[in-house]
Amino acid sequence: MMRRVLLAGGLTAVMGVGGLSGCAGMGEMAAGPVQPPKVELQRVEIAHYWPFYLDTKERRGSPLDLAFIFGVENPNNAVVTLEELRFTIAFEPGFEVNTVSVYENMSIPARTTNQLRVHASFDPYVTLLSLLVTGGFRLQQAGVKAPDQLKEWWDKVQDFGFEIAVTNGTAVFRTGGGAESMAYFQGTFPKK
Amino acid sequence: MMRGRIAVGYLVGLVFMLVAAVPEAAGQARVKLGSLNDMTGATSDVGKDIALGIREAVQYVNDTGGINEKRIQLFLYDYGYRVPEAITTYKRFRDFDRVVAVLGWGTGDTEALTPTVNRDRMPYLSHSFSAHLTDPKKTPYNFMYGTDYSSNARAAITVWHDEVWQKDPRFKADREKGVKPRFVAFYNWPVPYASAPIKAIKDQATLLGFEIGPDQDISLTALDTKSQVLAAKNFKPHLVWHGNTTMSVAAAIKDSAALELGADHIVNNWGYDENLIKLAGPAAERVMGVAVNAFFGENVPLMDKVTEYAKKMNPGVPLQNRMIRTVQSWVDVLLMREALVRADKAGQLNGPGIKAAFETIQEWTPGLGRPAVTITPTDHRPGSLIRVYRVRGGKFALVKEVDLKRRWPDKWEKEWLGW
Repeated sequence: MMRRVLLAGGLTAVMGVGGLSGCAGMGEMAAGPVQPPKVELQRVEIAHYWPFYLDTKERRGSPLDLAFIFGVENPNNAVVTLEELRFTIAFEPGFEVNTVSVYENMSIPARTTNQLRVHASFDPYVTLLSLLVTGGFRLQQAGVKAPDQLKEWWDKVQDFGFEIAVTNGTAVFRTGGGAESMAYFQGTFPKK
Repeated sequence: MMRGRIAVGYLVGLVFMLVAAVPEAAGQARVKLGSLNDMTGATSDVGKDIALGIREAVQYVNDTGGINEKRIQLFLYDYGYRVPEAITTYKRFRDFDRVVAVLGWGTGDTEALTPTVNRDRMPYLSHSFSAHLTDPKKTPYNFMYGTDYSSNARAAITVWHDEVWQKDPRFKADREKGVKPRFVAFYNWPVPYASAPIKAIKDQATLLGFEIGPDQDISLTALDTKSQVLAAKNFKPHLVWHGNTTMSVAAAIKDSAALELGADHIVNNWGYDENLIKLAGPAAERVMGVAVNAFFGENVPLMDKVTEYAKKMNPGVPLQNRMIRTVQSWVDVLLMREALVRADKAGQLNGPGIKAAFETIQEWTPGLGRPAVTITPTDHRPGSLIRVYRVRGGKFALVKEVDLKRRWPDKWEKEWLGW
């Protein structure tokens, strides 16, 4: 009888633990190193657009909302969860104008590519500050006034007439077991 | 009977199963921390590097045991140096992310949030070193990791007075004639960061026997400061205080050289970094300023980890573009970790517990060239030892350390706290 009791307990334990790990993943491996998923900028879309308008006295201007669509490819045989993604946006090489961070979790099944849309909003007044503080000397050397440069970008963005670069991109992933991996990415649109 | 025993068997199995699952759950315990940063606004010239450093330092903390084995979950957002956006982001931290503490940024937003963080009992460790945040009678939940701006300003003008005015042959004739050294301040008047230490530096200038000239208003985004330099030239200053951030400080120093202002320059810590030398070029030579910890890459304890994590976490940013700001972020995060670890050990990982933990910190340093930090329940100034540097041959050289508390003990204790 004692043997039957032990058997019942043992079976429960084995099935339970097995079941838990199974749930954790339908193939989700326990803790351990995983290959970093691959993040790729697929395209940029103009989500919302107003023609150029800048009033520095009133500290306002017309908004521009760009959507960045990334492909996030999980090469592992286990589910991974994207926990954090951040990147910097530059208009033309070198003029960094925005940095975006997102922390929403997204599960990516094994050997699957998910798509992620991240919005970044711009405003000529806000972008002017960023441009002056970090790119001001460069514009000064080129003899270009910052508001003129902004107007050119606002006009040309309708046709993606200049390069929009994603730089210093970092994405943090985690497995069900807690193992962490990071992916680094950059990209440009329109693609060369 | 037998059914009962079998049931016990199942129960034992169930317990075993749950125990087996615990380590995974424990491994996911987290401590949530908010960080407000300026990566696109008027102080993004220094704020971008700070944000990179915060993320890297948090990763280091998590890789080395976290908060007593709990991971820090960081929520870091850009607010573009816009006070209203800082306030809304803070509310998100408080109400949705439910962070236990905040790493704050600018003086304007930190001071604007002070009544709220006091009411919420939210520990707030800022990059703003405004002395207005140092008196716990008024701002009990505000903390800082660097010496306050007013102390920095007092130290900088003191070192220039002692080491340059009183010793430099350039000023021998004036000294012998009994001329008072003449002083002016360049800063963005309406910006709380820039204006915070002005009353203190003028007080110190008076204490040291300076004649004070008219202030000049220079925007944080200024590329051309010629009109202000020409206006200051009428006063023939011997010394200029720069209270802005690096980009506009570089513009003012270049214009001062081009227009032959003939004055020396001292700079607050947020205007004094590796980029100043790059942007101002030869005009940066002899410029003096304050640094609250080591510059990036200096040979000091833990700098190897700072560079390792910079390479590992942000490989797209070349090391030669990294600055002292990264190192400041590490000091910031490591001081926060110290308080969180102490609060957690005491079973008080909450606002009042973390505040109390900060106030137990005595003679603590993480390395990284940060002089020891002491915080008490009656004084949130993190120290009185201030290092003043000078640019020499395109590099920073230490001129002198000043211990304000040791030199003016009465004023330090009774007069200077909180402004």
